[in-house]
Amino acid sequence: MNAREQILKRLRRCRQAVPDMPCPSKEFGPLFFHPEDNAESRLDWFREKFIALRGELYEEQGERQAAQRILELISGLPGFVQVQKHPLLERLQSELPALRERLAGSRALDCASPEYAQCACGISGADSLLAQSGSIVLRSSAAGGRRLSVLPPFHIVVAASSQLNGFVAPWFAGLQQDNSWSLASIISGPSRTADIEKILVFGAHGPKRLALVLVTGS
Amino acid sequence: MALAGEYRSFLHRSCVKAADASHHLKILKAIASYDTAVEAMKKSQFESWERARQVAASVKRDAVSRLPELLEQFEAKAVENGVEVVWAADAAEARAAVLDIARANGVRQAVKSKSMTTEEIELNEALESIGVKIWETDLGELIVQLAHERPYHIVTPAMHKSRAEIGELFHRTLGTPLTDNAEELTQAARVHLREAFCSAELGITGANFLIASLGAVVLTENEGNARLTTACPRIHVAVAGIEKILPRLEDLELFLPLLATSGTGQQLTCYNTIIRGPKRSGEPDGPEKMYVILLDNGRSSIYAEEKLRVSLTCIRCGACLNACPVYRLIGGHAYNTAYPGPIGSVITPHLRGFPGWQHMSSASSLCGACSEVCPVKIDLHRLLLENRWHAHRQRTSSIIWRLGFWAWAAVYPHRKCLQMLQPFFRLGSRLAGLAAPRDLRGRIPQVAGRSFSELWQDYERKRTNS
Repeated sequence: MNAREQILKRLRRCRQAVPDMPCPSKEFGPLFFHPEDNAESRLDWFREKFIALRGELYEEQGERQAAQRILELISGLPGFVQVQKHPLLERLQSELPALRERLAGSRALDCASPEYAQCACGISGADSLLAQSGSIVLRSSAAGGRRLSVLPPFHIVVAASSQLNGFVAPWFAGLQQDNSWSLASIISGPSRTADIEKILVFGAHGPKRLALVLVTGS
Repeated sequence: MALAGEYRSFLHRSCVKAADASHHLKILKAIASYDTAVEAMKKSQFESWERARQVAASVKRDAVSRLPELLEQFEAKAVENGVEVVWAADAAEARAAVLDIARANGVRQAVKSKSMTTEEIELNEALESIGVKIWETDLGELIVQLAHERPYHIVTPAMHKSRAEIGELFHRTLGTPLTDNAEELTQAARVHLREAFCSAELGITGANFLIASLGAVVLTENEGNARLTTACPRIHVAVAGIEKILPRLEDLELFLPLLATSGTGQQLTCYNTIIRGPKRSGEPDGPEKMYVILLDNGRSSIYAEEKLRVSLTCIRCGACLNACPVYRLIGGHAYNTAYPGPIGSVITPHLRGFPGWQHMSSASSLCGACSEVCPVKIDLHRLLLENRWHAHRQRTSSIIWRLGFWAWAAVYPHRKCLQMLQPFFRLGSRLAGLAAPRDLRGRIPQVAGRSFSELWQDYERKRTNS
């Protein structure tokens, strides 16, 4: 008998022999403090939480300003910048040719290549933003893969303010319907550790800096 | 004798640590900062922490009750996602499965993100024995790996080491310039492991949750090392205990904040990652192959025990370790097991056998602090009593222990018997007082000259006479 049959047979036998554990309140309504159901409250919550997590938040009126902000953020960086193929990012580059120029050289490099370890900054779009926890969520299929958001020391995320949600429920619903992704991640601030004497240090293995360029207005 | 051996060395290690003031100071400092963060987060995040615990306990108990069905559902979905699922009845089978994968894929280097199941099956030693270089990538785990120690704590593996000690260790093993600055030390680990992430062929993780409806593995972490472990190498192996199952993706809405709050006092940890298989077509990167190893290793024996089954609902947050006065005093290494503290004391005898490990059931003051903090409301201190009872029934407890309790049960319910034995008790307490170590002499409580019931009878007699 193989291990699978052996384990399952045993579990099934015990399942019959021992009564189920009582579980009186399986369904859960709201258990958490959460933002009110309007855009303003969600933005307030998000701003407060994201900044407390040491995220850098740039709220920009319109796409041109957002593009300018990104150019400014990456202008002084050593090494190349990797940008994900994403409709919003495409629009920002059409808006500002200087940004497209800056990014042109790096676009070619495949993030599966070994030189990718030298990448100074990854730019990706977000699936959604979670106001309740100040998190950015993304999935591998729509975020330029798995490495782009974690290997470079600096991660820039671009999102529209319409992508701001309360918490994870709507995103989960979307994930379940989409069959294209292999990895989905909830990112709450730049990488951190407190393994040495509980002292908080940023930039453990993931990005040291996490910036969100939030496009508001039209 | 194995039994006495493990028990005796446990007592020895406990005594040494209990007397080590500098150890005590480090642990209290770390736990104090944990306590502050956790209390604040419970209040600021949850409308009612108590209600959240009740709901979490219900969801997880339901999941564990339905374990066989949910595991089959998980397996079917995972296979659909292109994951190879391997079942392992014990630690040896799990190790063999990982070694087979490593051999078949010509693996020479592996990176591992923090995982307690791989500690449980002692995977590092096995991989090294076939010549695979294995890197622990969680900072705390790297520290204990370099020091050739076990993790001290299931969430904070290097809690027992000071900055200065870590600085000295890094200087000696990695050649880092001598420093006690936490930021510089973290940076040194980052630089040291970057190369490993990019060159390793195999990435090994545990699983914080398994989602049955999606066939997905969920990992929660702060450093990004689990993200890198599952992004760079071409093979990903997740070693998961069978009890890690949750029925639905939506359950994470409660369990991720619950685990983060109880584990480290955060609302959410920095990275919460849901992985359902290797790289898909159309994705630019990710592992070509993914394996999930479903580990039993004694869990199905716990499942068979009606009262102990609830211990399978544990989400390994470590809150009971931090709350336990015994753990705080003797520390994580005294237990000599992958899982120390109250939860470790409950499950270890079932995972590794009662004869050698039942002494852990007594490594508790039964104060109930562990049960009070448990986010899924496991009555840990009662389960420790249950284990003692189990040992008694299985006759694996020592003969003196059983004889003593037999005598106690025979005598105690009868007042007359107690009365008759009283001179012996008195003599016993006096002898104990004389035999006590010098600093305890005079502090051993003595059995009173006359018992309460004798005094009461006197009192009654006087009252009726007057």
